[in-house]
Amino acid sequence: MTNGGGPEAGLAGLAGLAGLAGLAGLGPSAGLAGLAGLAGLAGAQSPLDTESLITTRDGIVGAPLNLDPNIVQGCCEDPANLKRLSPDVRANVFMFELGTRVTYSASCGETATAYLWRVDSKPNQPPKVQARPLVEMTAPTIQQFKDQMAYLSGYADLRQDRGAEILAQLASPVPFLASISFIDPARTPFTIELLNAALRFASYNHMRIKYTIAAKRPIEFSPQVQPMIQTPTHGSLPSGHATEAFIAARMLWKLLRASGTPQYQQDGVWGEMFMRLASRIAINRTVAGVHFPMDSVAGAFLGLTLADFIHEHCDPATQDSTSGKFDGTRFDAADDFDWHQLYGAQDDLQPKKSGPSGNPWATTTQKQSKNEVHSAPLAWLWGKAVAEWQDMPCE
Amino acid sequence: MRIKGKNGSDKRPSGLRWQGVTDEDVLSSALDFRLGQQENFVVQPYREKDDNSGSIWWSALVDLRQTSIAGFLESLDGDLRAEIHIPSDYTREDIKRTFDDQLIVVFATTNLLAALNQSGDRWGVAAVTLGTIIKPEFINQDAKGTNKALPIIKVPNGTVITAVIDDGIAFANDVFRDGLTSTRVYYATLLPTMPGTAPGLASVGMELDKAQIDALLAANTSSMLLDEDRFYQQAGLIDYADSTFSPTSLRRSHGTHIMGLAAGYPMDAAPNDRPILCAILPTRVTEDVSGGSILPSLALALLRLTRQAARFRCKDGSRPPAVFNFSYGNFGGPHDGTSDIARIIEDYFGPDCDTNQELRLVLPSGNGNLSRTHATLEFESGGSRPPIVLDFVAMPDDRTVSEVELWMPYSASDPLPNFVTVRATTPDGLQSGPVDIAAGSHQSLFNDDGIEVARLSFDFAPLPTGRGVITLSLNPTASLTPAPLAPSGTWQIEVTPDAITADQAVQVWIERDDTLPGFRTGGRQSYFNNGDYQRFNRFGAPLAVDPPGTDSPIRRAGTLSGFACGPSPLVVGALVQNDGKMSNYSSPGPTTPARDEPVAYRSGPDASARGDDSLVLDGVISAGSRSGSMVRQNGTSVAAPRVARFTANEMAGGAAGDRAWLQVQAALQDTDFPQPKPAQSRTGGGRMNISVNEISPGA
Repeated sequence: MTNGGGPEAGLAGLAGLAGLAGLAGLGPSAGLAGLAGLAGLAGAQSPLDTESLITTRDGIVGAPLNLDPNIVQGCCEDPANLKRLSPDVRANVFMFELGTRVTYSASCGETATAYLWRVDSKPNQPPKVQARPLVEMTAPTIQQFKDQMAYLSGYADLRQDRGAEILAQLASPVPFLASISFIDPARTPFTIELLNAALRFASYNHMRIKYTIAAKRPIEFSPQVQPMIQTPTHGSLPSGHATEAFIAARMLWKLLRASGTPQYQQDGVWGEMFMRLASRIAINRTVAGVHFPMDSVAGAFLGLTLADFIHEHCDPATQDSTSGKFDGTRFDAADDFDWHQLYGAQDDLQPKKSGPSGNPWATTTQKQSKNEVHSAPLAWLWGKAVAEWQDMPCE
Repeated sequence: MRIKGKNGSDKRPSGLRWQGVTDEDVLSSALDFRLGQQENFVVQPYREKDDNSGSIWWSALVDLRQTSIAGFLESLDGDLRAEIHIPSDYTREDIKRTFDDQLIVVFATTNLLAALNQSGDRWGVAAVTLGTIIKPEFINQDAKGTNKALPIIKVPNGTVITAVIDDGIAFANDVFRDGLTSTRVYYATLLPTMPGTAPGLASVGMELDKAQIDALLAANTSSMLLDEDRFYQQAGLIDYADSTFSPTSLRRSHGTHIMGLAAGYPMDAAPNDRPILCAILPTRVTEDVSGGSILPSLALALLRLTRQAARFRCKDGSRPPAVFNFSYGNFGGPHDGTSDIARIIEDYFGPDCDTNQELRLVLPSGNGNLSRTHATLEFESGGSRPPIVLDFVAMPDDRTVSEVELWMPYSASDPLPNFVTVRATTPDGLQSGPVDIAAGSHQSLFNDDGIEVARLSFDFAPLPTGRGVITLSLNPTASLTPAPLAPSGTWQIEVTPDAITADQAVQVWIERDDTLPGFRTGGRQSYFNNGDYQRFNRFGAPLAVDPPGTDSPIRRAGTLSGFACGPSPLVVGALVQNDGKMSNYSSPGPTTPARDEPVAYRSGPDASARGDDSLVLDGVISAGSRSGSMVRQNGTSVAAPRVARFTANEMAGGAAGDRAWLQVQAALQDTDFPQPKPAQSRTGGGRMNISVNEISPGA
C-alpha cells in the first residue's frame, strides 16, 4: 500500500470494552441505579452503558465553546438539598447526624459496664465538650448467664414451629413491621429511610457495647445448644436483634402517633402489636440458640431508649430527653424476657423502674429537653415520614 | 443370617441368649420386667438425691380388693409407707370407705411397686398398672385429702357442661372466653405443672378456677390484647427454664383444636350456658423409656372434673348434664371392656353411677386401622395344626419399650387350658423356649453382660378380665447412653395351637409406641409385616377393609382403640366429609365378648363424624394455640369432639345423650351422605353431619 501502513490495532481499545460488555448483565442496569445505593453498590455501572455514553458524546459534542454559565452557589446547610440527594447519600448524612451526637466510654469492674454519652450542641455552633449520660449498661455475671442456659434448652423445643420465621428474621425487622402497618417502598419511602437510619444507629451502638461487654454466646456454654443458625461472632449481650426490633417498633409507633390520624390515636393497639412483634423477633433468637433471654432484656432496653433519643433529634416538638441504666447484675436469671416490664405502648413510655421495687435492674430518667439537640436533616426526614401516615385530604 | 464360627459352629454376633425362668411369685411378669428395666435407663434427676436406685417415683394404678385405702395403707410396713403417696383428691371419706374392688391412683417408688407385685395379695392388691416416671418434686407429699364441700356454681336452666381431657389446651384462647378478661372455663387442672407445697393444694399439678383464670387474663391484657405467651407462663403451663414443655407454645396443639370443636364459640357470641371444665394431661416424660401410660393421669382428671361438674346447679335446682371428651386412644389391652381404663370409665359413666347428674363420655375409635398392629389367630379344629408365625418388626432408633400382647380366650376352667404355646425368635434367628399358659412361665433374653433385654411371659389378668395374656416386651432399640438394648429388625412370634378350639381365637395387639408431631423423638411404632397382608387395592390405594376371606392373621378389623371397648362411652369414627367415605385410618370393631357375656359390648364405633374435609384437605379446621389463629388437624380425635358438641346441644333440649340415642341420631343423619352406608363395624349407627357453626344457644 502506498500509505505504508494500516490500522493494525485500530479497534483494540474498543474490543477491550466490548469484551467487558458480556459482564453487563451482572451489573445493575440504569433502571435500578436508584437501588444500587441501598445495596451499597453506588457507582457500579455497566461497561456497555459507559461505552454508549462515550460514543454518543464523541458523536455530538462538537468544538469546545467558550461558555460563561449564569450559575449560583449551592445553599449552605440547607435541608432543602436533601430531597435532591439519593437515599444512600442521605443515609450517610443521617448516620453522621446521629453518630456525632453520642460518645462512649467503658469500665471493667466485676462485670463490664458500657457508657453511652450524649453530646449535645446548639444548632450552628461548635459542640460543647460536655457529655451527659444516655445509656449505662452493666453486664450480668457469668453465673447469671450459666443459670439462663436452662432457657436455651426449653426454647429449643420451638424450633420446628418457628424455623421459617427465624430464618426470615435474620435480616431487617421492617418487612415484618410492614405486615402490621402499611409500609411499602412506593407509599412510605421516607418511613423506610427513617427506620433504616434508626437500624444503622442501633447497630452502630450495640456493636460497640457488645465489644466492651464481650458476653459469650450460648454455644460456648454447652455443646448441646446446637443453634439452628450460625452464631454471629459478636458478643451475646445486648441482643442486636432485640435492639433493632425494638428501636424500629418504637420509631414506627411514634410516627403513627405523630400523624394524628384517627385510628392511630384511639388506643395503643398498633403500638402493642409492634411490641409483640419485636418481642417475638427477640425471643426467636433464643429459640434459634444464639441468645439468652437477658440479652433480649438488655437489647430491648437499649433499642427503646435510643428510639427516644432519635425522636428527640427529629421532632422539634419533643419535650423530654430520656436516659437509662441497665444493671444486669440485678436481673434475676430465673426470669424470662418480658417486654411489658420495659415499656407501655399506650402512652409510649418507659417506666422509671423495671424489676423488683427496691432493686430495679433498669431505670430511666426523663428530663426536659433544652432543645439543643435539633438536627435539621433528621427533622426534614421526620416531617416527610410523618406525612406518609396522614390521610390525604378529600378533594 | 448366621455367621459360622472358627470351628464351624453357629456363632451369633449379638451374644444374646434366651433362658427359661419360672417365677410364680409375681402378680405380673410383664410389670416386673418394666420395673427392672428402668434401672438401666433412668438418669439421676428422676431419682431422689443421695438415694439408692429404689427411689424412682412412678404414677400407678393399684387394683385393690376387699379393703379400703386406709386399710391398705395400714397394712404396709412403716418403711414402705414413706414410699407411697395417695393423692389428696381422695377425700377422708373416700379413704375410709371399704369396697369390693377399686382402682386407686398412687404415687410410689419402684421399690414399693415391686413389693406390691411380688406379694400383693398380702395387701389386697390384685394388679398394678404403671403410669409414668415422675420427678419427686412434682409430687406435693404434704397434700392432704379433706371433706370440705366445694361451693355451688349457679347456671341458667338448659346449661350443659363440656369437660375436655387432653394435652396442650390453650384455654385462654378467645374461643373459650366470653369477654376480654372473662373465661368460660370454670375450672382447669394443669397436671404437668409443678404443684404447690401447702397441704391444701393438689398432690400433682395445679388447679385454677374461673376467678383465678380471670385474674390472670386481666394481669396479661394491655391495649385490649392478651399476651398469651406470658399468660401460660404465669399460669405455670409453660416454663422454658425447667423444660416444662407445653404444646400450647406451638402454633398447633391437640387439646386446643379439640376443645375448640367441642366447646369453642366466638367471644362476642359466647353462650352463658355452655361452661367448660378441662384437664391438661402431661405430654411427655422424656426419660421414661417405658413409654408411659396416661391412665393414672386420666383417672385423676376424671376424679377432679366430675367433682367440679357436681358443683353446678341450674336455676331449677337440678344439676346440669356434662359431656366429657377424651380424644386419646391406644392399641393394646384386652379389648373386651374389662381393661383398667374401661373400669375407670364405668366408675363415672356406667349405669350404676350417681343419677343426680347425667355424665357422658365421648371417645375416638382410634387411628390404627392401617397400622398393622393387630392379628387374630384362629386354628382349624383337627388335622395337622401348623403354628402361625407373626413377623414383628421392631424399629431401629426406638427409644422406648415395645410390647406385643397375645390375649387368650376366656375360660372358666382352673387351671386354664393350655390354649397355645408361644416362642419368640430374635432378628438373628435365636429362638426362645416355649411359654405356656401357666403361672410364672417366661423366657428372658439376656445380652453379653447378663442383662435382660427382652422377655416373653405369661400373666393372668385378674377379674373382671379373667384371661391369660402372653406378652413380648422389648427394651428400647436405641439409647444415647450405653444401655442394654434389644435388637431391632424382624422378630418372629410363633404360636403353636394346643387346647384352643376352632371357635376360639387368640387376639394380638402391639401396644402404641410412636412420637406425636411436635414432640421430641421417642417411640417408634413397631408393626406386623406378614407377607400375606394385602396393603393396597388393585388401583394402588390403601385398602381400608380386610379383603374377604383373607388368609392373613394381620387384621384391620378389631383395631378399635383399647380405650374405647367399654359398654358406656360414645365412640366415634372419622369420615371424609365431601365423599362420605370412612377415613382410611379410622379404626373399626369388633371387640371381644367379655367374660360371661354372650356378645361383645360393641361391634364398632357408635357413630362417625367429620375427620377430614376431603381427600386432599386432610383434617378439619379449628382453633390454633393463639387467639384468632386456625389450624388443621385430622384423626378420629377431631371427629369425637364434634359429636360431643352435638350431644351437649341436644342434651340441653332433653335428649338422653347415651349410646342408643347417638346410634339413632347417626342413622337419621346418614341420609345426608352418599349411600350405601359403610359397614357398621366402621361407622356404627351412621355418618353424622354436624356443623360447629351453629348459633350460640344461650348468647
